[in-house]
Amino acid sequence: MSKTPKKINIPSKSFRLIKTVRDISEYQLKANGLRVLYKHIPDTGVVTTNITYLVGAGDERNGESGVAHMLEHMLFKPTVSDLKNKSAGAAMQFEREVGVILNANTWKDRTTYYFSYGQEHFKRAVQIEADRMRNVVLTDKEFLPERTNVLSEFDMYNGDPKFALSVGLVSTAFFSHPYGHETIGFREDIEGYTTEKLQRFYNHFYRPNNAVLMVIGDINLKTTLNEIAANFTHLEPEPSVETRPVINEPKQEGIRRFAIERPGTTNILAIAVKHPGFPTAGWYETMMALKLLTDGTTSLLQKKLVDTGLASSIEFSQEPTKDINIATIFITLTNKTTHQKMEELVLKIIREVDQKHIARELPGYITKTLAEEAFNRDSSLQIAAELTEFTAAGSWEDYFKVNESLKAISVPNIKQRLESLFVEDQLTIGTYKSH
Amino acid sequence: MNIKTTTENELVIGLVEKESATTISIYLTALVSEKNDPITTAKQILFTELLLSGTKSLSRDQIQEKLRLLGSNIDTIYTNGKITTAISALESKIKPTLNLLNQIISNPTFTSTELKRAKQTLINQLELAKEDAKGFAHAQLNNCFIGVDDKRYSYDPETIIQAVTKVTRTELQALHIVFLNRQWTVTIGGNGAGLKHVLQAIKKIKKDYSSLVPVSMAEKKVSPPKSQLLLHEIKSKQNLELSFGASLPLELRSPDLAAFQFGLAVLGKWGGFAGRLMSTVREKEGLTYGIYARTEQIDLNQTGYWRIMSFFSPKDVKRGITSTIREIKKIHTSGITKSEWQRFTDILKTGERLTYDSLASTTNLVHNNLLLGRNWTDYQNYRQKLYTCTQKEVNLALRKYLLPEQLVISIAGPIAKAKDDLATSFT
Repeated sequence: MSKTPKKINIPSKSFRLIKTVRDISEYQLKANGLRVLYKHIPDTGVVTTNITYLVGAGDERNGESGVAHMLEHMLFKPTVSDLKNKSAGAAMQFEREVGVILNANTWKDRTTYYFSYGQEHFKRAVQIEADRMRNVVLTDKEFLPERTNVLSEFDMYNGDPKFALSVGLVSTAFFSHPYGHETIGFREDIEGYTTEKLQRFYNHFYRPNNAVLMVIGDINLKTTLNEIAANFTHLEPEPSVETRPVINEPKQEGIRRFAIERPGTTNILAIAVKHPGFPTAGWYETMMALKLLTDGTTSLLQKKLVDTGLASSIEFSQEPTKDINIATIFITLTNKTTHQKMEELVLKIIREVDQKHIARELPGYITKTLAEEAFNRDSSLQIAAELTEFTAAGSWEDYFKVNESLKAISVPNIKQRLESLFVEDQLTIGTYKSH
Repeated sequence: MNIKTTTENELVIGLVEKESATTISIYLTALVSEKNDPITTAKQILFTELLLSGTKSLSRDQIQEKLRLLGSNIDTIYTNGKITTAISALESKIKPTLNLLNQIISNPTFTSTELKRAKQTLINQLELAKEDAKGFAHAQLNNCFIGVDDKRYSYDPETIIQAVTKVTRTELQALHIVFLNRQWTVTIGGNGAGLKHVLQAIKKIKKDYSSLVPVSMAEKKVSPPKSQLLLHEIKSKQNLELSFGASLPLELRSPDLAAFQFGLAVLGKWGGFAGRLMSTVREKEGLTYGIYARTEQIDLNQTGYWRIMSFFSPKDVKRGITSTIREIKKIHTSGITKSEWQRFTDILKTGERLTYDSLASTTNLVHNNLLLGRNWTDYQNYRQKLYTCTQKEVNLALRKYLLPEQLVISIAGPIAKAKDDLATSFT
C-alpha cells in the first residue's frame, strides 16, 4: 500500500518525500527534520493545519505532572515578536481577527495545536505555528493568571466523579509507567510550576524534529511546502531530543484497588483492565470486547444491569495511547445494590460470556464501528484529529488500516481477550461512594 | 454544498447535497405538544425510549441487532414539545435502514413489559440528573422567564420522576398517533442520489398520515421578572455553575435581532476565545476556564432571553460575578468599538463558512433553522443582516435590550462553601 517513488517531482527542493499512502503524503524538511502530512480536499475553501509535538503527559517527571498541558496553555501567549509589536499571542489574534476555529489538547503521548480557516489565511497559520514553536515568552506576568485557569480546569474535571476515579485508577494501576497520572496532572504539582520548569520542557521538546505538521484541505501542495519551508527552515532541531525509555511495568499480582468518598448521592464502580497500545490488534480487540459488554441499549451489561434496575448507566473509556494502558468500565449504581455485589455480578457475567453470544453479536458491532469511522471523517478538522492519534502512536499510515484491523477480529479473539483482560492480575478496581 | 428548503403538503423539507458524500444523515421532527405539564413531559421522554423498543414483528433486541448489522443508527430525542428521530447510515445501506425506520415509526407496540423497563431506567437516569449542576443553573434561569405551562419550561428531575410513574400505555399510543399525523420537518444530508431516494421513502411513509390540525407556532412573549439571585445546593460539586441572563423581547423576525446577536457575540461569542468575557474574566483575571453568551428559546413567534454561562470556584465566585457584571454594564453603556465591529463581521462570516466544511454540521444547521420556523432563504437573509449591521445599530440594540438592571443570576453547586460571598456579591 505504501510507495516511495524515486523520480517524483516535489514542488519544493527543501523537502524530501518520505512516503505516500493513498491520498496522504509525508514530506520531511531537510533543514531540521520537521515532518509534514498533506492531504488535498478540493473545492471546500477550508484548510485545517494541525501541529502535533511528540511529547505528552507520559514524558513528565515526578512532581511535574501536567507540565505538558500547562505549556500547551502558554503557547497561546505572546512570542518575542508579538511583544515587539505590542500585540497579544498571535494565535489568539488570529481567532479574534478572522474567526478561525482554534484549540489545542494534550494527551499521554502528544500535544496538538490546530486551526481551521479559509484557505486565504494559510500563510498566517503557518507563520504562527513556526513562531510559537520556539519563541513564546514564558514570564510570570503571562504564566500566573494562566496557572489559575488551569487550576480552574482541574477543579472542573475533578468535580466529575468519573474523572476523580480515573485519577486514582491510573495511579493505582501503574507502579512504574509514566501513564500513572492524568494529563492535567495533580493539583499540588500544578501549584508548584514555575516558568523555569516550563522553559526547560519547552526548550527540549518543542523542536521541528519532534513535530508533525498536518495540512488537510483546499490548498495546493506547492503553496503548502513553500510556505512551510519559508517559515520553519531556520528553526534549530534538538538532536538529542529524549525518547521515552521502554518501561516494563512490574508484574501485577492480584487486583489493585482504589476508593474515594465524597458528599452527594452518586455511587460508581469502575473496573479497569490493562490492554496493549494503539493501534495494535490487541487494542482493537479490547475495544470490541468492551463494546460488546457495554455499548448500546441491548449490550450484555446494559441488559443485565440497567434493564434490571441495578445500574443507572454503564459506559467505557479507552485511550488510543502508544503503550500499554488501562480501559475502564464505569457502572453507576442505583440504591438496589452495593459496590461489592455489583463487582461480583459483573465479573461473573463477563466470565460466563460464551462463544455463541460473541458469534451472534460481533459482526454487528464490527459493522457499526466501521460505519462510525466514515462519519468520523466528515470534515478537515475531524480527519486531522483522527490522523493525530495514529501519528502520535508512531504510524500515521495505520489511519488507512482501521477497516482491515476491525474485519480481522474473530470470535475466538474476543473470547480470549475477555479471558485475559478480566483476570485478577490485570484488574484495577475503583469505588466512588457518596455519603 | 447545495442547500434547499421547501414545504410540500405535510412536510417541511431541508436538503443538503454534497456530491462526494458516502454517508446520509436524516433528522425527522414532529411538534407534538404546544402545552406543558409534568405528565406531558414524562410521556414525551418515555415515548422517545419506547419508539425503539419493539414493533409488531421485531423485538427491541432485534431492532438493535439489525441496526448494528447495517452499521446504521436511529435515535429519538425530545426537546420542548418536539420529538426528533435522527437517522444516520452509509449510503450503501440506506434502503434497508429506511425500511427499518418505517417499521419502527409506523408499528411500535409499546408493550407493558417495555413500558415498565423504560420507566425504571428513566427514573434511575433522573436520579443522576439531580447532581447536574450545570443543568440546574440553566433550568432555574430558564424558568424565570418561561411560564410553567409553556413547552419550553423545564421541570426538575423529582417532579418528572413522580409523573413518569403515572404514564399509561394508552397515553403513549395516543401520542404516537399525534406524532404520525403532525407535520414533519425533515432534513436530509447526503449525495444527490441519496437525497432523492430518502425523500421519496419519507413521503411514502407520510402519505398514510395527514395533519390532525394545522400546526402553527404559538406566539409567546416572555415578561421580565425582577432582578434576583437563585441558588441550588449540590454538595458533591467542586465548582459553582452559573447562568446569568435577562428576558429579551425579540423574535426571529424582529429587525433588531441581528444587531443584538452581533453585540452579544462581541461580549461572549459561544466557543473559542474571541469574546470580551474570555479576554477579561478568563485570560486577564484567571477566574474561569470558559465564559460564553448567547440568546435562548427564541423562534419565529416567541421571545426568549439572553444568557451567559460560566463556572467559578467558590473562593473566586464573588470576583467572577463582579467581573461579569462589570463587562455587561460596560458593553451596555459604551457599546462595541469600531475595531470590534470590523473584526466580528469577519469572525461571524468565517464561522458560517467553516460550518460548511462538515456535512453533518450543515445538515444540523439547516434542520435547526427549520425547527425555529426559518427556511434557508430567511436564514441567509438573516446572515446578511448580521454582516451588514452598523456599529451604531449594534450599540443601540445593546443599550435597548442588554439590561443589567433586569439581570437574574442562577447558581448551582456547593453553595454553602460561598454563602457569605454570595450574600454580598449581587446587590
